[in-house]
Amino acid sequence: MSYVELHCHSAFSLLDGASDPEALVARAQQLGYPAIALTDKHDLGGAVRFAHAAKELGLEGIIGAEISLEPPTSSRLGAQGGRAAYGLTTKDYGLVLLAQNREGYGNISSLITRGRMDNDRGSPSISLDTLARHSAGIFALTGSPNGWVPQLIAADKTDEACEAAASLLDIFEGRLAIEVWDHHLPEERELVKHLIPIARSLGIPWVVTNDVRYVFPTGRAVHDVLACLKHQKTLDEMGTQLLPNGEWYLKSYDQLRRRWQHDEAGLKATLMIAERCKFRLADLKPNLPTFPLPPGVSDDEYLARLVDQGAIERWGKHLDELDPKYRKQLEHELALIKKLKLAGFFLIVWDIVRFANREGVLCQGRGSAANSAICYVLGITAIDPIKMELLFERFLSEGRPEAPDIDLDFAHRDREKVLQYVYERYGREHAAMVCEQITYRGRSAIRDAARVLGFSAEQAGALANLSDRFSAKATAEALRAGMTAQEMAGRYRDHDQRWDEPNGAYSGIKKPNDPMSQPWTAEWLRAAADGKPLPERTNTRPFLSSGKGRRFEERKDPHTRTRPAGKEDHEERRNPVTAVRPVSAESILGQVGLDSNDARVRLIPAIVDGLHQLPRHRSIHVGGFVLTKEPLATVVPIEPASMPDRTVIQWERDDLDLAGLAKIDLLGLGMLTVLQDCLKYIRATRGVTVDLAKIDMNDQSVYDDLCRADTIGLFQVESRAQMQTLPRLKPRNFYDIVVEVAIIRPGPIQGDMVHPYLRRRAGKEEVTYPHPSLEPVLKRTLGVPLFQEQGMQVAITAASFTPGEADTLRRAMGHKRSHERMAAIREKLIEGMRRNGIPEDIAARIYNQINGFADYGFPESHAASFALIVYASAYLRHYYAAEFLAAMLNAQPMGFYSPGTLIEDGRRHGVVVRRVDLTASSWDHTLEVNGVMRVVPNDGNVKVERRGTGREPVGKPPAVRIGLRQVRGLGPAAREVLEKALAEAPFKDIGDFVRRVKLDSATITALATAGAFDTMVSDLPQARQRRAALWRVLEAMRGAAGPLAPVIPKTTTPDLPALKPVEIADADYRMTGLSLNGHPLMHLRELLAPNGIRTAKDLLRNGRDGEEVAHAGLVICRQRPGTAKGFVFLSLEDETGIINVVVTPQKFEQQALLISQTPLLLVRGTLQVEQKVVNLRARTFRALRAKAGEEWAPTHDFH
Amino acid sequence: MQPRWRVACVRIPRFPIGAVWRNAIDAEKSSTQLSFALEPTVPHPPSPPITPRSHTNDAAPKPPEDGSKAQPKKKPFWDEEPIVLVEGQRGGGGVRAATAAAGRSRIRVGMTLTEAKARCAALIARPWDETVIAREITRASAAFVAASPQVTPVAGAPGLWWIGVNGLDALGGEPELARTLWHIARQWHPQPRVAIAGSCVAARAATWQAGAARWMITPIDDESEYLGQVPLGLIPMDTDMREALYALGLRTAGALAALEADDVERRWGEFGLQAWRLAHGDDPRRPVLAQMEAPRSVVTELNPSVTSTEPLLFLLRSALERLVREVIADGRSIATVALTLTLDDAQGKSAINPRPHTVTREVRLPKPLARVEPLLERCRLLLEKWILTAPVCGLTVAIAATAPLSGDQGDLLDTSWRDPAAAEAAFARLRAELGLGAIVQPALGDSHRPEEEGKWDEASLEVEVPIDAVQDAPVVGLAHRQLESAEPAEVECDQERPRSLRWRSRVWRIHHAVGPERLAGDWWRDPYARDYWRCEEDGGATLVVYRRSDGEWFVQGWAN
Repeated sequence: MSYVELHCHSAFSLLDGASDPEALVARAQQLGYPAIALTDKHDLGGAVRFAHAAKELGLEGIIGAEISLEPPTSSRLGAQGGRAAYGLTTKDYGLVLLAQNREGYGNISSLITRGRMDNDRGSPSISLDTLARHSAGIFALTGSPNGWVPQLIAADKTDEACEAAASLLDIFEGRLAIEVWDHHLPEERELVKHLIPIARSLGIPWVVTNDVRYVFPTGRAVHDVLACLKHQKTLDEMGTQLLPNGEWYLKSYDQLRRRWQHDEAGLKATLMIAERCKFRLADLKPNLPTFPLPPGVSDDEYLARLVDQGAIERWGKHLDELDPKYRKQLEHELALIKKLKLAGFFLIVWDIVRFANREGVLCQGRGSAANSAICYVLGITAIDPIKMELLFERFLSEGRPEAPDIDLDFAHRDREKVLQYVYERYGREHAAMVCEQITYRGRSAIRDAARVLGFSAEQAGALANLSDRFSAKATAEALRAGMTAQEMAGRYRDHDQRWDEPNGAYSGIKKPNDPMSQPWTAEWLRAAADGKPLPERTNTRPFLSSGKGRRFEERKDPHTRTRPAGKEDHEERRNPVTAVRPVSAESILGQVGLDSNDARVRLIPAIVDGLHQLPRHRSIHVGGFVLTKEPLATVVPIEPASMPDRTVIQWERDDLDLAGLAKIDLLGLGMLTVLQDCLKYIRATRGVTVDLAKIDMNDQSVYDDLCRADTIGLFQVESRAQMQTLPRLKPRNFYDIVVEVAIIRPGPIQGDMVHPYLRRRAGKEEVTYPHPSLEPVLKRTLGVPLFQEQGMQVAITAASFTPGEADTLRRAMGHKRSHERMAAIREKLIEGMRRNGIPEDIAARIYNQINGFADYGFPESHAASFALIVYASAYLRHYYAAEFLAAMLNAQPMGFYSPGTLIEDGRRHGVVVRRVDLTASSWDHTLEVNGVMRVVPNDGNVKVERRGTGREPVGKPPAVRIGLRQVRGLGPAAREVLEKALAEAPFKDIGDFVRRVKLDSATITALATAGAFDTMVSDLPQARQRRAALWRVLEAMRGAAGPLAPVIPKTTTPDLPALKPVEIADADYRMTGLSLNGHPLMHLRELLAPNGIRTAKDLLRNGRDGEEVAHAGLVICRQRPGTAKGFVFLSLEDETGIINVVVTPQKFEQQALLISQTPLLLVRGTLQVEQKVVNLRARTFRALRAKAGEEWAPTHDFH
Repeated sequence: MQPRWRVACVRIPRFPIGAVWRNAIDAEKSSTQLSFALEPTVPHPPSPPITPRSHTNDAAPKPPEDGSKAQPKKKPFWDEEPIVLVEGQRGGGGVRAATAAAGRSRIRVGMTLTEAKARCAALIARPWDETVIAREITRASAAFVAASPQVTPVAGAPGLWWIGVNGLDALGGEPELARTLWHIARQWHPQPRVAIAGSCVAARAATWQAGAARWMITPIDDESEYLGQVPLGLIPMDTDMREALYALGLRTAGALAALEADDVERRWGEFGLQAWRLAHGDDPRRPVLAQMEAPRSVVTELNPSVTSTEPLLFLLRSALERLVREVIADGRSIATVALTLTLDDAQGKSAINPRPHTVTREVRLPKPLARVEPLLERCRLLLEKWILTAPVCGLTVAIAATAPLSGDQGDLLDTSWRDPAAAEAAFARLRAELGLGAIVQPALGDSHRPEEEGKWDEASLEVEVPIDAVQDAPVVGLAHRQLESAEPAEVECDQERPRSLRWRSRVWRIHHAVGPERLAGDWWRDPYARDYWRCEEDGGATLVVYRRSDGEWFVQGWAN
């Protein structure tokens, strides 16, 4: 005999479930269930993961959901007056729905969609009428004690309860069972007494569930914490809103049989119902929408026509006139697309790109789509894959079951236009964005854990700052203060299961692999809470075992979800402080002023650990869009997103392939906005039209900039690591940039490919190949495999794999490896190479190289697409620095550097930057051409204002005027007011400003402190202007006391203290994050110079390798890459340039907080100069204080 | 030459904590738990040298340990222990005061108790007790009267007093007064601050600026110079104004005072002017002759004026309600009410005196009262007989005399005599007799634990349990009559089910047991896990018993 749990919440019942779907399935298998149902509340977000796990473990995974039923309008059948059972609300009634077949699944999905779309966010519900319209193919259970029928019983309306059950029976045409439960609570037992007779009277089954919320009893604590978050209360405030005990876990058949031994019909019914629910998620086969075609033309024919037209545009020839190499490739791709029935998909993507082009939205395909010649001729990508010899099968191959991955980048400001076009084109019924399930990570987990325990936001924030950014588990480990994970786990044991064992309390039999078989005593717990040494657990009872480490075994279950590689990388990354192993928990807690002896402080790690990777909330994926032919809501529930006019599905990116849904990524890229704006500015200021498609790709002056690592603000190559590599790689042609883009990635760095490549490029190492036959494949990367395509080409060349097989090999070596599959592939690859005459030892070496490389290689096509943007940005910055700077500033926030650093860099390149000024500035940053013309951007539009009648000095570089947006504290309301006033006319004087703009005093003070009024008091010396302006503004703001007592402004200003230069810099940084009046270091220079502290410029020009030097600078960037083995990299900026500082893990540990938090650092150490790359290897650190606003300078830390 | 007006300011650090702590010690003298020193252990220092009109800068008393070199180790003073006062019995309202030791653990006012404990696990929390603090303020005020007849505790700032200085020259002048005040204040804290200046604002600022000195006397002739150096933060003013002044580069009271008055008024209006005047030392606040109560009054202007007394009754009622509330809060009742009418002679019938003038009449009560209705009745009678010679343009209701709240409960059958103040007074007497916590009222608790479903709260006439709350409360009903605390029992089971139990030396045979009903929780503070059984015994009683997770049995109560 067995049992099937038909009512299970996973963590996707947001804040009402504490376990992953995979964990539920794994435990169900351990308990010997033949099947298990997932019934999350108004959610199918976990369905794919659940179905996948069930399939892997050979369990029947029943898909269902719990919905909230609106109380019927008939008051007789409403349960008002019934008391809430242990905190459950009676606002809506729970009803469990299980999918019997595809139609039933579609109906459940549609019901969830309706519930979400038709109600306020966070409170979905379904009316009986809606339920009746979507009841086909569904088997229903009456739900937990908050269900309609139980609530009527609780309200002493037994007859009405019977009537309600009969109504449901009608709606579901007999597919209904009365749900009963027993969590050892008298209220439930009272309800069950009435529920079973109702079932019998209606001739329907009654069925036992445990209304599961977590896998093991340990999950109770996490569930309690989630309940607190749901109600926005602390644990102390929750009272009876928490469940009264910890019985809502997945129980064994034996446990349940003992409770229901007097009548096992309810247990047997679970099997019967499970039998009827045959739908499995694998049965879901959604289709793409049909692209509207001219009459009588198939999608394949239409695609072929477009390809032909595109060939003319790209190469000036029809398809049949092309060079055979080109023609053959296009025909091959067309044939494969036809075979895979993907023509419609390509047409849809082409249509989106066409729309963007029509609207003037800069757009470019990225990723593996750049391997496709068809994508190139359709204008989807900008790289000629045939010319670059890119491998099409990396993009699409016969062996791949799913649609190819096409990622489109759009200028991020205008992406919304494109998204709304897709919605309109295919209808909101058939299109929605992919969601991103935001899970608990270190910081979010610790913030919420601290909050529910009653700590302040300040304390939680301080702890979070020292926590692991990515992993809640790592955070928990770091914070565990003296108590082991298992000891902490013991705290939230409620009752050991032996009480449920047969034959009384003290003769239980320990379940194999049961992590919760360890009992606890209140004394033991109190000792733990008091921080005393934990008493030895005496194993006095024969069935007890230590159970050490079991809690973590649960997490290590092979069936738990494998995250994508990128996310796994993040998991391994560590916070600068907590990652340092020797830092003790006491030390971390001490740094934020927490006492590790406090019982609640000691609970934090356990809670944080319990929240690890649980879903927290749902967000919108950066760009994923799904389209279906059938109504999308019958495939996956859709819900409104927090952003207006957006709808999202409940599945995230990784779920789509498993569910057979095709996704198009419509991404926003800040640099495309910069390029788009920059071109407009150039046209306006200089009368020059730059066509990015036609710029000289071999302009050596642009490559000179790259070789010098003069790349601040450039796309992709502006990071510290890229800047370190550029002088060594010395890019001199486009392909060098492709390599540069690809090489500084976690993969190639971890795969140790960077240094061999650079050594070979510098001629310090001989270029060799594993086998002569591989030379054509590896020649352009000097024998070092860098790209995924090369791995595939090696298999094709050396082992005679077909391109499709090579792609299968790549994918098999990717994230989801299995030993069996890898062994088979190895055998095939070695055999192929043996047949081609490659000796077995070399073949094995090649295999190992490919195998190791599979995880790390970077797609060449992707690198090439990005390299185009790199070159374009470098070209525009080189020739049109002012316009590029203005475009960069107006596109903020984006990129690696703050506006201050961008401006400093721009000024070093000769750009004139002018201060924020209410008589000259607009909201955005503007361009001024010799006082006769002003280019005023506004959200992508450009207005040209001409002053005077002088001729425009076309061709001369303009100056950049800082916009009002740079002033801190001006919110949307202030923006609206200021923009409206500025649209009328510039401000003339303070009186004019105060008359036309109504702003609060804090905003006005901010503007005055930033120096925005300075021009209006130009009669005074500069040092007195800001305060005098504020003085006058304050008076003007107050205005006349009354109509009969007008204020006669005084012309004199009291002798307010003049601002010192350092105070002006401080005000600049405080209010705008940057200063045109001098870098903070400038104010310290006269102190630093006599002490031998050298400037960045001096070190970069005159520094010698091995020299002991001292340097001081503003920390603008702190990095601790996962690939750097604990090394920390700092970028220190002074008034002359930027120096990179290398900090060893040991040095960092010694002064982690100083390095992590001090804005100005004095570093002494050894200079390392290699191939013009200058690094300072730090030995000692000291905090400096200039009082010049350094603490307000933005930094880019640990991203 | 008229002598300059001078005032002393005494500031006793963390005075409320000391008051509450002292009270706790008094209440629990027998307890060994609270064995910290009540008074500072600082040895009495010799009198400091007195230099006329000088800034006296005696070194601060050395830390207590200095005097205990060869002596047995003394118990630490309360300020050296991590103690906080919290709002509410359980600290739900957060920390209101923290000792120096708690401050060193970075515990700050406004934190929740949980936050504070997280910073110092050994933290001792006591509820903020207005009554006790007020009593201690009175005690301290009475002590300061020994030095000067003008003693005014500063409203809203427990631990701060303004004390009159003038007229004490014969007793040693300002230095002697400062020394005396300092010694008196040391009864409460070893490091009080005393300052004497020409205005309250300057005196208060001087207590902060005294630094390690025991007291500070600002020069009489150079008051403005002294005040000019005071940081702007010590001059009371609006936050926006303060921030604007900082932005203008003004950092001291002197810098503010240097501005022209009309400049200040043009920017910050009347409130700005007030701050400006304070920066000049022009502070209207004065200490008054020592009295246990402050004169209380409500002043109302009428525009337009009224020609009859009838409209005044509305104002009268609300004024009396407020005044009664205030005197009750001070534990006083009203003995005399003074009504002052401001008559608008210019518009009235009488043309003799064109300027408005006031007429005051008193209602002297035969017995002090703290209830609105009878007071209103008597005032109404007075007004009805009042013949107006001009329209009334203002009404002032003042309490001219008060008496201690008698606690007279009056005739409980007469609704007009149901006097909350009297009841409170009665409660106070009972508390004094039986101790704090003796007067309780039932309240619902929000917990799954049966013993916490209901609780006894400190009785207060202001707290009312809404009927809805009672009706909506979950009814678990495990035990209808609970023991004060669960009592251990020995239970014999058959297949887990209790069959007999020995409790209070008696064996109870169980013929029917229902259960188990499982309650478990509070894992984050005081974890528990119990299986409950309702056991019907042969005698007909239904005992509610539970088994703890360690197998021990307890009787929680019984149902009947």
